[in-house]
Amino acid sequence: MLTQFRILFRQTLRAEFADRERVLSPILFAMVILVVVAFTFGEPAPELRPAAFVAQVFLSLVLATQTALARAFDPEHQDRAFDLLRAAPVSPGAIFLAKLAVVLMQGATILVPSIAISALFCGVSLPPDRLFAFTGLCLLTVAGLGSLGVTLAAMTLKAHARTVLFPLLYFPLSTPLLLAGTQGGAAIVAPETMVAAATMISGWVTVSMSANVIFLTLGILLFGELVKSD
Amino acid sequence: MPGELIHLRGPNGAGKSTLLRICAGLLDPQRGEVHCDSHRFEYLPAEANGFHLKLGAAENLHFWHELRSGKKISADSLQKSLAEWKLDHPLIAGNFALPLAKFSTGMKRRLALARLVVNGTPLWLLDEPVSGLDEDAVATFISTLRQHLENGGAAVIISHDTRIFSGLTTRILDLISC
Repeated sequence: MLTQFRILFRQTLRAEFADRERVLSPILFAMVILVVVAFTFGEPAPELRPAAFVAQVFLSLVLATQTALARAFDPEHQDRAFDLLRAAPVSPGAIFLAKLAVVLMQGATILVPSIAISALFCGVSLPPDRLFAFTGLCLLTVAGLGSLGVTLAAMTLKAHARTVLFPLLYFPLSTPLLLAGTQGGAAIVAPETMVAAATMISGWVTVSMSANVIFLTLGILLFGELVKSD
Repeated sequence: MPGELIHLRGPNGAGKSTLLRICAGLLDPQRGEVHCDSHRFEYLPAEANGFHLKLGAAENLHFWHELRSGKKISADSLQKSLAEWKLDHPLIAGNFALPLAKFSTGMKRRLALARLVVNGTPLWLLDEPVSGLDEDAVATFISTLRQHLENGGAAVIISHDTRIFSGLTTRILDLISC
């Protein structure tokens, strides 16, 4: 399975980077959201800056990753490569994990500029320990959203109303991750000391990790069944 | 059975492609059971070839071969296969090759048939393998199929083009539409 994962990951990554539109459009979409929000609300009041920063990062991250996830299997769907993968001696878990790994990379490429631009627009300057903690929590959220999104993308791959069905399923199910991400993020960025907010942060991180474990386990276990037959 | 060629035929809508998809494990049968070992067969659908269209010919062949066998295909073997199917042009097989999305229908089909040979699976499940191919490519396919059967391979083929079965011992399976 590890060898298959490696081969599939490499090919999926190649297919993604061969299509610049697929790589660039979620990043540009995230940037557009940030610019629109910044110009609409202007510079927030000093006491609202940390919360506005967290809100902007998660807003751009969630919406941009959703657009990437909804069409996660498009390269395999185009020439029915997915059918041949299903007919080949390939572990469904390896297909799922390879796609998830590529989604995580995409999420990271959206996250880094989102944090930098949001911090600039909101006038937030985080010390390194808070910045690493916040980035880590965002990546944990992306991992959970990725597991959920890849599972749903496979599930809705052949649905006629895929573009409607995917967000209808994705947004309600991603609520625990978003709640944990935004609340935990706000606690990390808040002016109180990290030690004072530690209990709250660890509580939300636990929620996020639990949701991650559930979505990842369900994804690995269900993926084979979801793509088994038409 | 090794060396056996089955021609699956019948009128449009009889269920030939559906039967082949069931054999490939892509559809569940409504009744009965199908046991298939995915290591031992390769399936080719009628109207698609199963490639990543944004990638080149060599990248696709490398991927499918490595995924099936766990081993990398040698450059010589790849070049030989591409040359056999007249796909050894620098724009197709070179380092700056065109993506398959730029290929014609026939060229993509040639590449899909070259993949069968490269992967070397003993059983081929082929749905209209020569659709979109020119005379020259059909002749290459017939000779490749003959060699495959002589080497102990087997094939189940759906085709309305009966030229590919000429001179080959063929079992005919007729599907009657209800």
